[in-house]
Amino acid sequence: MISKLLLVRLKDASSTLLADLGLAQFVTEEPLSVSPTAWPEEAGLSHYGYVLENLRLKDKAELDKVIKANDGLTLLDINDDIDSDDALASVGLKVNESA
Amino acid sequence: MAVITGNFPPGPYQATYKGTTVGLMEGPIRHQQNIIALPIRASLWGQNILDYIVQGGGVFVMVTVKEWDAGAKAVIHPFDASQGIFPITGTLINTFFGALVLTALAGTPAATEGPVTRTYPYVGIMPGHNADITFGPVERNVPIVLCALPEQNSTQVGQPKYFTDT
Repeated sequence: MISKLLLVRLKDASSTLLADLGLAQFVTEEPLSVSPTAWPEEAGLSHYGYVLENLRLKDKAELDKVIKANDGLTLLDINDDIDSDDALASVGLKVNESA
Repeated sequence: MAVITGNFPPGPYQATYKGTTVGLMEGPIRHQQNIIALPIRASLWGQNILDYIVQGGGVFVMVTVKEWDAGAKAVIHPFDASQGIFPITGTLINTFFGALVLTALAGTPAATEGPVTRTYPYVGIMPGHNADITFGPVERNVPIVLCALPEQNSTQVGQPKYFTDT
C-alpha cells in the first residue's frame, strides 16, 4: 500500500475538501498544521497536511489527476525511510507546534 | 470596489541555499524555464512546423546577492569555501549543487496565492556565467544565474522534475 502526505494551501482548504476529492477514506489522523521553516511561529499557518494511507495504485492514479488539476495541492512522498517531518523539511516547511 | 481583488501574487521571497540563509538581495528573484523540442516538418506543408518532439527542459533562477554572507558566497561559488579553488576536471557538478528554497514573506499576497515555497533540489551557478563581483566604494551587488538540475518525478520513470511548489 502507498502512503503520501497531501499539502493543502490555506486558501484552498475547506471542511469538505477531502470528501469532495474522494480522499476522506484514506485519512486516519488529525491534519498537520504546517508553515514555512523560514516563518516565525507567530506568523501562522500556510498549509494543512493530511497523511493519506493505504492507497492502491488506482487510488494513486486518481489522486495524481486531482493534484494536476489543483495548484493549491501538493503531494509529498512518505515511507518507512521518509516521515512527515522529513517530507516537509525537503520543501522548506515544518509542523507548526503553536497552531 | 477595487479593480484588483484577488489572485494577485506580489510579495518578497526569502532564500536559503544548501540550508543557509541567503542575505539581502537586489530586486526580485527571477525564474525562467523553457521547453526543448525538435520541430517536425513535412514537404507537403513546406516550412510549417507541424508539431514538436519534446527533448527536455531548462530551468534557471536569477538572483542578485547584496550581502557578503555565507549564503551569498555559496550561491556565487558552491565549489569551495575559497572562491579561488575550483573542482578537479572530470567532477560531476551535481556533487556541489544543492537545494534552493524560496519562501514567500508571511502576510503577503504571495503567501496567500502561492507558491508559498518553491524548492529546487539541485541548483548552482550556471557553467559559463561570469560572476561579476565589484571591489570598490559601492554596493557589492553580484548578479548570478543559477541552473537547476532535474530529479526523477516519483510518479513517472524518466520524467524530469526541476522544482516543487507548495
